[in-house]
Amino acid sequence: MKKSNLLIGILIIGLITAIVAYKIAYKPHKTIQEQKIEYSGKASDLLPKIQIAPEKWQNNIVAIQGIITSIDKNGVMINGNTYCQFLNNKELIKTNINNTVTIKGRIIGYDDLLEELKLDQAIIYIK
Amino acid sequence: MKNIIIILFTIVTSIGSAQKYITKTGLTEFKASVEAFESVEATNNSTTAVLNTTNGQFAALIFVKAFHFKVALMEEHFNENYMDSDKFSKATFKGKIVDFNNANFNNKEQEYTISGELTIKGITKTIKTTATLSNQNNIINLKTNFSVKPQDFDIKIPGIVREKIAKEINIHLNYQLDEKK
Repeated sequence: MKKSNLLIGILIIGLITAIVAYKIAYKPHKTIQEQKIEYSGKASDLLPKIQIAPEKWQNNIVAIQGIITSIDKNGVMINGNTYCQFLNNKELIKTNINNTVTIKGRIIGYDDLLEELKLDQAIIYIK
Repeated sequence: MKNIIIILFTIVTSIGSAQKYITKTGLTEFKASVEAFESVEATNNSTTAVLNTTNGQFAALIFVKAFHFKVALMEEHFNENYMDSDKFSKATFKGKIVDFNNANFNNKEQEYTISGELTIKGITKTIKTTATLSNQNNIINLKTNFSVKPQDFDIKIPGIVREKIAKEINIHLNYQLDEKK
């Protein structure tokens, strides 16, 4: 009797360990909505900070405010120097040129080919 | 006199105007999967690419952290262990489409040789491959495939996973470039 109880106990622990390991190895990506904002403010204030120390700002989640200067099928340009690629094109419906918006997104880097700051996973952010 | 001025003006403006086609959301994918093992592939749809149709010069820039893997942990390992993307945040290509002629360029797909310098992880290598280009409604489609070896760019694959990662990484580019006005 005792032996089979032990065996069942071991099997259950083994199963739980396997499930936990699987969940860790295959943990889902964190969505942009879930991610904590590391900087919140005007896009025009952020840009010079990034140009000074670009590596520091990589992968940072920011909420920036600015004026939409152009719109394309994948995102918007803010203040003529910050391109925000939308996570989902549905966000485009909420955009109009010359509107002031707050966008939450991830900084992927400063694009020196086109001389603009680039964000991805962008969403229109309403507090 | 007036005619000379008009002619000079036309010459100067046509020399000065370089026609550029760009994208900020080009698709770059790579695959390094080995059959029977978990698939190793990622997509980057934030590629910036610029094509100068006056002289065929082409440049592309990718932010390494924008490569998306299905498995979050694989993406973490890719950035932290293989690519060291905190230190080397970009991969770039600078080169040209050989014998590019805007006059012959139409909506039929044509093959061109593309050659230039590919820089990954701070290391630059010359590559040459063929690209298929076409112009449809003033949008230039550029597609190409080529392979690179991880060791060419100092990408170290640890022994434990060597069998699970292909010896050659297949890279596929598919860009739609719009005219920059």
